[in-house]
Amino acid sequence: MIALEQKFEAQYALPIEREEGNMEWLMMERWSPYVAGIGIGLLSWVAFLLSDKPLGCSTAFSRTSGMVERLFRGSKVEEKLYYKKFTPSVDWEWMLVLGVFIGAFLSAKLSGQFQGDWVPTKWAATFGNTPITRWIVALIGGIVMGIGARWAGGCTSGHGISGTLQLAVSGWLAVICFFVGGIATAMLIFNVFS
Amino acid sequence: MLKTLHEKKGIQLVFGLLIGIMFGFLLQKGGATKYDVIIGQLLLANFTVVKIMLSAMVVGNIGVHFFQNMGMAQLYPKPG
Repeated sequence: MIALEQKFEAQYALPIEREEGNMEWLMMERWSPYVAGIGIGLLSWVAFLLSDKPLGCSTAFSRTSGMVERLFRGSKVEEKLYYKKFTPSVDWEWMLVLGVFIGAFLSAKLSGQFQGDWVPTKWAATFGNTPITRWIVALIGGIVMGIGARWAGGCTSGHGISGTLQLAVSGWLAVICFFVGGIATAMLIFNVFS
Repeated sequence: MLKTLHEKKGIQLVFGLLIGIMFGFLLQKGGATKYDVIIGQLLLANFTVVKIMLSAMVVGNIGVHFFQNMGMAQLYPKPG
């Protein structure tokens, strides 16, 4: 009798296991970088077809800075030439960036990786565990990256992925320079200042 | 071809959000949201970021140019 019950359980357990098996890939900690890349490539098809837009992020940050400035200075902000070109308003790309936060959070949460770290491990191994040093360097890095992306007219998404896949000369030039600058800076920070 | 869809502002905001959610999901699953992965790439010790970018570029390039030739999509190369 017990054996029979176990047999039944085994039979009933199977479909449930299969169902879990189908969802498991969403809970995996990491996918092959090629799979993630192919996914992003396919996603760019969708963006071009359904929204008539290349994937990009940094313009949304400019618009947000305009929105923040408007909180303090009112509608005078909209008269600035820069914000006439990049109106401080929510558009497709702004929603895309919001989605990136949500999607990355969901992915991390589903695989149980979501956690807050004041200092990343690689940084801590070289420069110690003091948050303040890390914050200062991260803040400077963020400011420089923001200025750079606006000067270049795009970031690693707009130039690095969307520009290169459209075979835009500007995209290829920008991404080559991102890597040259990034590699030089990283080598300087980790090999010279460490 | 999908002009009427492109002009619907509300729907486009929803599309932006949904495409963004998938974009963020793929970036996190690929490892591109991790400090150690990014810095590993720049120290030339871990090529995850380049693998993601190049495979996205190859796949995207083929599809986007195909759709452009079919008259279904328009390209937006940025000026230099």
